[in-house]
Amino acid sequence: MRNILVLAEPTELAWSKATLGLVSLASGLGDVSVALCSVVSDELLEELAQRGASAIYLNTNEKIYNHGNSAKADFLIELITSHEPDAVLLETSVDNKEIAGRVAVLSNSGVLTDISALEFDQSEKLIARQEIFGGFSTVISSVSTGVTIVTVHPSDPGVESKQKDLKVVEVFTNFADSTKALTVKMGPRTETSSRPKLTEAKIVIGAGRGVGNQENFKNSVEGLADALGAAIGATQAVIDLQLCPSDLLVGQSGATVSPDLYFALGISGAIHHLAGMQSARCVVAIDIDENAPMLHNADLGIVGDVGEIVPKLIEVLNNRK
Amino acid sequence: MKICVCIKQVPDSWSQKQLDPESLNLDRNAADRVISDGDVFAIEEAVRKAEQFDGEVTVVSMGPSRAVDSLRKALALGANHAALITDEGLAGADALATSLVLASYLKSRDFDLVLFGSASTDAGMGVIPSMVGTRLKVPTLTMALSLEIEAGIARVQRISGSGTDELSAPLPVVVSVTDKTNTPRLPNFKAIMASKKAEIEEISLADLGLTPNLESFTKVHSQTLRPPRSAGRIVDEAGALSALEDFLIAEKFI
Repeated sequence: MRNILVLAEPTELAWSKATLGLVSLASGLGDVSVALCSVVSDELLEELAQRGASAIYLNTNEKIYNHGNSAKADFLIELITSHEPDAVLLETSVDNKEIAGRVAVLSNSGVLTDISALEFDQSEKLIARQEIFGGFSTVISSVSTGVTIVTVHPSDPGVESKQKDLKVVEVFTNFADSTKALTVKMGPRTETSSRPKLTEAKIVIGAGRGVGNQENFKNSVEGLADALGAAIGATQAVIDLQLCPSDLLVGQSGATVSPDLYFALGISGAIHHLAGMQSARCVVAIDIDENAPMLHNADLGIVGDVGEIVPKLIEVLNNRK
Repeated sequence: MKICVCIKQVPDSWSQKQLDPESLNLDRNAADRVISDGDVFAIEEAVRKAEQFDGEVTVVSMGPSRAVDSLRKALALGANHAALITDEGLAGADALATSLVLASYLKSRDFDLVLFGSASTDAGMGVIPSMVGTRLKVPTLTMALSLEIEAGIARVQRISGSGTDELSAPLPVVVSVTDKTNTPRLPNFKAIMASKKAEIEEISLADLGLTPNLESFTKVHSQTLRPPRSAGRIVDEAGALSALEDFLIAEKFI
C-alpha cells in the first residue's frame, strides 16, 4: 500500500473544502496520514477518518507558528524522514508553495505546483495533471527523483464513506537554526467576509473597469454577489481604483478560479485576466464595448451598461426568491 | 551591505505563452521577452537599500545569452554590477535545479541581502526564493509589503490570511518583494547610455563547480493546449434581462 501524507490547515470551525478534497484525493491513492500543526476537535478528526485518513501526526512543538512557513516545512521533513511517504500533498497557496519548495530541497525531491489531478499510471508511477500559463496549457508531469511533492487545487468530491480507525501520533520537531532565526509577530485579524472564498465559490462575480465607481461596485457587483451567493473577483484596474482589496485579484498575478459560473461585469478581457478564469464552466459577460474580447469568450454576452442592467437583474432575482 | 537581486527574463505577460512542442520546455522564442513584472520592484528595493546603507547591488540572471538585455535594463535602473549565468546544460532546468545554480552563485559571493520579485509571470511556481533560502541555510522572508533593515535585522510586513504579520530575522536573509513594496523609478537617459557599455560577467556551470548535466527532478510528458472558448450568444441591452434570466435558469444557477 502506498503512503500519502497530507498537510491539513487546523481550524476551529470546519475544514476547508480544499483540505477535505485533498484527503479524499489521497485516499484514492493509498494509505492517508495527515500532518496537523495544532490540536483540533474530535468531531473534526472524525471527519478526516470518514474521508479515509488512518493516521494523524500532531505537532506538539507549540513554537511552530512563531517561525513562519519554514517551521511547517521542518515538521513535514521530520515526518518524511520517519515515515517515508510516496507523496506529500498540500493545498495550492502562496504559503504552501513556499513550504513545498523548502521540503523539496531538504528531502532532495521534485516538486510540482498547481496540480489539478493526480493518479498512478500502469507502471505505478504518480502522474500529475498540471495547469500552466494560467490554464492555457495542461501538461502531464511526474516527479522523477525522491518523494512526489505537489501543491493541488483539489475539488471536493464529497464524502464516500471510507471510515478508517484513526490513530493520533504526537510528534515533536526540532526546527533548523535558520527557521528559529525568523520570528513572526502576528498582527490583528480583520473580520472575514461572509461571502464564499474566491477560489472555492461556485459562482464568481468578476468586476472590471467598466464598473467604474464605488456606487456601481456596491449596487451592481456586491448586490449581484449577494443575490447569487457568489464570491467577488476583480481585475487589476478595479484594484487600482481601490474599489476592493487586492486579494480579490483574478488573473495571472492573482487568483486562478474555476467556478461553475463566472459573471464578468465591465471586463474587457485582457489575456492576463482571462488566464485566471477561463477554466470556468460557464461565462456570462456584460460590457458596453461590443468588441470586448470577454464578450466573445462568454456563453452569453450582453452588450450594454453594467450600471443599467445589473440592478434590474438583481431585482428580478430577488423577486424570484 | 552586499545586495544581490535575482531576476528572470520572461515572455511579455500580455503575450500568449506555450511550451516548445518538441522539447516541452518553455518556448522562449514564441513571445517577446522582458524582465518579469515583479522583479522590477526587487531591483528598486535593492537600489534603495544600497543608497541607505552605502551598499552595492549585483543583479544576476540565469538564462540564454539574450538575457543580457534584461541585465542592462537592471543596470539602467541603478544596479552596480550584472552577472549572467549561462550554459547549455541549463536548458530545461526545473525549479530545484535553478535554485541549486542560483544558490551556488550566491554562496560564492557572501551577500547580506538577496532579493527576489514575486512569482515570475511565466512559470509562476513561486518556490524559488524559499528553495534558495533553504540551500543557503538562511531565513526567507517572502511577499514583503515593506522591508526595513535596522541594526542588522530585516523586518518585513506580510499579508497573511485576514491580517498582516511582521516577520523579522538577522542578516543575511532572502526576501521576496511585491508590487506594494515600492514604486520603481524610471531610468534616466544617462543611466541607459551607461548601461549599454557596462561589462556583464558571464558565468558557466563549471565556474560554479557544478556538473554540466544538471539533474532535473521533474519531467513533463505531454502538453495539451486549451481550445479557445467559443463565442456564445451576443445580446443587446434590450433583450438583456430575459436572456440573463433564461440562461441562469437553464444552467440551474437559480
